[in-house]
Amino acid sequence: MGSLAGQRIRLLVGIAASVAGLWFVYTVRGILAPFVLAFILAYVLTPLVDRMEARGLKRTPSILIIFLCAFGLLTLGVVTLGQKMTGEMIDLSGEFMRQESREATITITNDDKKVWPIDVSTTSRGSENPFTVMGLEDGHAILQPGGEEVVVIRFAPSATKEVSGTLLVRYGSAGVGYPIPLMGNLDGKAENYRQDVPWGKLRFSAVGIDFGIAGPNIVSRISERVAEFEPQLESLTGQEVDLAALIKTYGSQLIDVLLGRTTQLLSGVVSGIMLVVIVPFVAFFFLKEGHRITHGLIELVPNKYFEMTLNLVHSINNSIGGYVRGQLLAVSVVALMSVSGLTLIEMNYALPVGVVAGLANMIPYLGPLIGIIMASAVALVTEGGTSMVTQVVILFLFIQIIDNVLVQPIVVAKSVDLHPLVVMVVVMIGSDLWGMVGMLVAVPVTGILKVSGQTIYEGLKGYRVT
Amino acid sequence: MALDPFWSNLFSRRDRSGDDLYEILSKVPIFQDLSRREFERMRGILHRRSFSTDEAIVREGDVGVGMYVILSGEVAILQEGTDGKMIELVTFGEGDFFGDQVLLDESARTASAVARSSTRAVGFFRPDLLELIERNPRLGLKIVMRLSHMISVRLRHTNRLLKEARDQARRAEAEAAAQAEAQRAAEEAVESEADPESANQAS
Repeated sequence: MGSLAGQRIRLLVGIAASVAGLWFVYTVRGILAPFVLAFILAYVLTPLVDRMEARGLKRTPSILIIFLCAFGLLTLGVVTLGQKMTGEMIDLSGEFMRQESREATITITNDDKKVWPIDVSTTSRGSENPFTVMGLEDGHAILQPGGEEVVVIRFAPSATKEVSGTLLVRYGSAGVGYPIPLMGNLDGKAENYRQDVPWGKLRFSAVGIDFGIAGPNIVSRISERVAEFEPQLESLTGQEVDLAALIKTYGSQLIDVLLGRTTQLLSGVVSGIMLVVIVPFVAFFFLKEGHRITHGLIELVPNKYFEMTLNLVHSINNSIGGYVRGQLLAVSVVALMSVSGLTLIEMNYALPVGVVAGLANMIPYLGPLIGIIMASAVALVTEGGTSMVTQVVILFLFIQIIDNVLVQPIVVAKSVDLHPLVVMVVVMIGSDLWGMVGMLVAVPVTGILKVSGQTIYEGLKGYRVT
Repeated sequence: MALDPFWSNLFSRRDRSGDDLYEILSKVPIFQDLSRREFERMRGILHRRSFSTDEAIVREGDVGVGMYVILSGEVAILQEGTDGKMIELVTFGEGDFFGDQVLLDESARTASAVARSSTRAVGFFRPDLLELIERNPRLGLKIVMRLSHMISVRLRHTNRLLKEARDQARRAEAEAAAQAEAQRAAEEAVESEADPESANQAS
């Protein structure tokens, strides 16, 4: 009887601790990402450390050696591939995020005591003139003595090529003009030419205007391409279709969301550093003390459930390890195949597109689709032809066949089929909690939970649970 | 007293530093090959458990996970008879062990073990053995060899018993046959003497 009371107290303490633990996890979810990553990293490296320990090395030096090697590889990777990758990533995100047009203003003030009519126009040195004067009728305005006119100039080039032009302000009938240089797409070297300049009878708020980077982004280019097919579609369906406008609206919204998240992530540079420092640190202790931690926790379970818990914990441990390592290997294989395939067909941005396709492949059903659509979109926009799109689609189908026939059955020990709806929901929850990192981590974490659930369910069938 | 199992598990220093663990375990066949140093490595993967009087340690029919070595107290091994009644097979005390066979396969327990008095025991479980083999194959192999040795000894013993039983059965059969033969002969003799006609009919 006494032991029963003791066990009840233990059970109560256990439940209370679990509830408190869950609540705690929820409150500190903001800083949980590095721990989840460390947890996953520990699972990936455990067999390696075990093997080295089996060879006679002590555990701590084994972990340190592996970490040093990993760090070396990482540095090598960052120096060689990393730079290319980040460069291409920035370029590619530029393609997505670029504003289609930029506007700038210049204020013209009449310092004279006479009324002056002015005439504002733009010229460009290229074949097309991307600069337009907005707001003024035919570029005409009349400046009262002491009065001022704010002229809005829009820069909307058809490509992100370096352009320069002139804003010509004529006044009076004599046609005396002031030229003000206009510049755009100067590779981000936007300079400030703003200063108050008295220039004869008129005063200008700038001696030159640099519009920065502008040009059509991926969405507008895709919608342009779609617009080309619209007449055919209309004749086919007999209905008026405005697919281009639809893509433009929703595409921009989507990019706004992604852009918002990315800037959120980039703004957290500190958290980035914390990831680099904390993840290996925590992973080190998971690797070194993991056995002892589980041993100590299992020790607390009441006698009645002790053997069952011990068995389940080890089964779950094995399942998670298998799942995580399998997923990582599958992601690596698909990413490697995609990158080499895309490089072989000489597509632009092969590295980032291939890597993202590999990561997306973790998501069942949706992942491969995301990969194909993203790669096709990039191909369509950067190569400008449908032949590259065809090649990309064929390549990705080929990779999918290899992945499903060869990689998945061998690598992924336990099939964890997540329902697409579940995937969608958890990805949304992940992005809500942790932004981009959360979106990436959501699927494997859900997979881990499902594997654990399956193992518990199968394990409990062997016991008479009362 | 009511909180004893709780506190004894968490805070009892006696269990951890006490060398009685080594003294007792080194006499258990499975661990007897281990050096003092190897034994220290084992310490981390063994589970110390306390059971109060009449508490079940393992239950017949459950999936077995590992073996127990009794450090102190008494444990009764019970098996359910065909009539549903529990039959006590044996009572174990300090230094005795049970359940070693499930270390090798994930089979159901063939008997229940119930603490007869307040009992402390050390558990050694299959997942931990597998992990030990992974991390320290030399040590793991020593234990597995010992386990196999025990199984083989038990098998030989069983074999011998079986052979004896078979011999006995054969001997009994032969004896019975001889007896029957002798009896028939005797009966025939008696009957033919008494009534030759009916004896002929019977044969």
